[in-house]
Amino acid sequence: MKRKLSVNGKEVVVDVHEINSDFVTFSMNNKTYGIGIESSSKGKLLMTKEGKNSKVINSGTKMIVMGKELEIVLPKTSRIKGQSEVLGAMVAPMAGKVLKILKGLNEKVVKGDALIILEAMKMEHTIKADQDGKIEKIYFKEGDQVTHGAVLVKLC
Amino acid sequence: MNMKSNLKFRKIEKILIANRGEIAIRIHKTAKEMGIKTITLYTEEEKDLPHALLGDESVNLGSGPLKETYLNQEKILRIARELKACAIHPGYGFLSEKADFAKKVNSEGLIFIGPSVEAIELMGDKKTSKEKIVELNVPSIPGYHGNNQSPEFLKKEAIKMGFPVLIKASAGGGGKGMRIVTAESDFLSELEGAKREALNAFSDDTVLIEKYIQSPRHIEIQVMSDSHGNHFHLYERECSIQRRYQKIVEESPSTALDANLRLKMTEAALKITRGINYLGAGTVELILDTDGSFYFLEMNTRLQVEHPVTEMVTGLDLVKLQILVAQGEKLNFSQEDIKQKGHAIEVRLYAEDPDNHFLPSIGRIDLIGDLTTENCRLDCGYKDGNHVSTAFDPMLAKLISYGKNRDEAIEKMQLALNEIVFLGNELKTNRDYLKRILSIEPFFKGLTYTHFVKTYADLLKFKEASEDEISLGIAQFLLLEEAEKLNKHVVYGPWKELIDFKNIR
Repeated sequence: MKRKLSVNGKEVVVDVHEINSDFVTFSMNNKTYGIGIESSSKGKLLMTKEGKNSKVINSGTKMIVMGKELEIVLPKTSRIKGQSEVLGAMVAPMAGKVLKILKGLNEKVVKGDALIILEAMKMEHTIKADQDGKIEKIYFKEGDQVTHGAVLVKLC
Repeated sequence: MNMKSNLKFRKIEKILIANRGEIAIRIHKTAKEMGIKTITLYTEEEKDLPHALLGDESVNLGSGPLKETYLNQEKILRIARELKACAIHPGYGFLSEKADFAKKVNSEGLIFIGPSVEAIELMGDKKTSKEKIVELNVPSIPGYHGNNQSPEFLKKEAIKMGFPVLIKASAGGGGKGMRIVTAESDFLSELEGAKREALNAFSDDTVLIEKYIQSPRHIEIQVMSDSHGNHFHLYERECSIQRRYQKIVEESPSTALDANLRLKMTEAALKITRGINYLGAGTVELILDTDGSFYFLEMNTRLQVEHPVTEMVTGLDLVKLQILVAQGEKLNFSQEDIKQKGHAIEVRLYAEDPDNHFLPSIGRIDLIGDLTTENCRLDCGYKDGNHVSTAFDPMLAKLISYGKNRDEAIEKMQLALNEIVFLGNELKTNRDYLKRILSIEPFFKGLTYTHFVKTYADLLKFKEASEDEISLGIAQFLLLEEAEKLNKHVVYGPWKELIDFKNIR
């Protein structure tokens, strides 16, 4: 069964041949893999492939495989770095604090208008409108901490 | 100079720890081992952090900017008074090098666990510390910091100290008005350029000239002194891997020091502590040039972040020594008793994204991980479920490895970094970056100069996961998904535990 997965933001096609509770056979990039689970406890797994055991630590969508961090999700839930997928949604380009909200709900704005001032790393960053429109929703208030990629304002 | 000498013995019954996070936990640990009661402080936002309620008594400092919480001297002194603390341990940063705070602590009749007010003031000022160093015959970076700005005079000074030299704007930093001059013939034109830039940037074209050290290493000597005239050194730490003056990797011993150089540098540090009659823990920071010459940079009159490295190689508990000294006790060993054994490396885990301009990261810590690698130590200020914000320092934890030699310490650290993972949906850390630093050839060779991360930036670039790694990740994803489907019918077994663990968070 062909599946699409998002691995560290990149789409990967996986053809699952057989799967049961502790072993899976699948193909990816013209190579076939047979990987099983040897043991597991509290987010730590010991996977076995071709007779070799490897440690995997798992937490939510992230995991550490042989020391390397991977994030694997189903494609529709993957986030695009730094840009919103939808025009009219202004996102935070980095983690920081909402210093000032310059416009109010339902206020008309033109492309380029300053909407929010974000403070990050002791500097101020101005978030501007990416199109003409009206402020439909403001998701945070002054003083709130926001994460990288958080949608701050929606225009309609 | 007679500072705080021959203190009477005063047993410390209760310590107020005027700090947070991992260092608060660190101080508490030793205090409890010594049978001393502790008071820990925390802010409203830190209620869930492990240091908050750790002390025998704990006090909520409220919310607000640092000056109203951890930097609020009056509030902290009031708490110490009300809860009858005998002593205050300031940790590092915050109030640890604020002479006025130390003064107030002393006037309250409390013990400030640290050096004297005079020592903090003296070594805390660039001008007075430099004057003292020169007086004690300890080398400092040759330079001219005076008022004579005549180009011909400055050129003569540059020739005296030897090229290459660094011209710096006295009024400000950030690289503006800074010029490196390698050839004598270029000096006057570079000076002109630097002055023009400085005038533009700071409205002040006063410059200073310093000898430019091309491949400097940052070597610091840990010192410890008691009030009975005993001044010790606890050897060196190499702290050259830094970024924007923030240390990332520290180790001891330094690959650059042979027995002879070590002797010279530790002697220089002792010249200072003897010369100012220092008390307690401190660090003398030196710059080492490739030709073996070294110069005083500054002295930190407090316990430092990277003190675990010294503890691992000497087997000594620095916080314990600080407390003994503060009680007026004599340190009952000789310098010869202090030995440097094996090799220790410390890495600092930060909430930042090195592959996105080192921008700070915030978010929930879902899983820190379990450290099982032998001879490794984790000093961490967070626990699973805690939120990281930009309100405090982005350092999450210190991970320290120890081996019988450097290669073993490096190997152990790589394993430890596979276990201490700091996973969180939004959270980004420098864990992978640290692994990269420890895996490149220049690090193995010990080419740890202060320009390390810049010079080897290409080697330190992010590498995509290999097909091997991705295949394991995908298998894990698919198997977990399958198990969740089957979970409805599973009542026991390893998958149940894994799914239950995944679901409770």
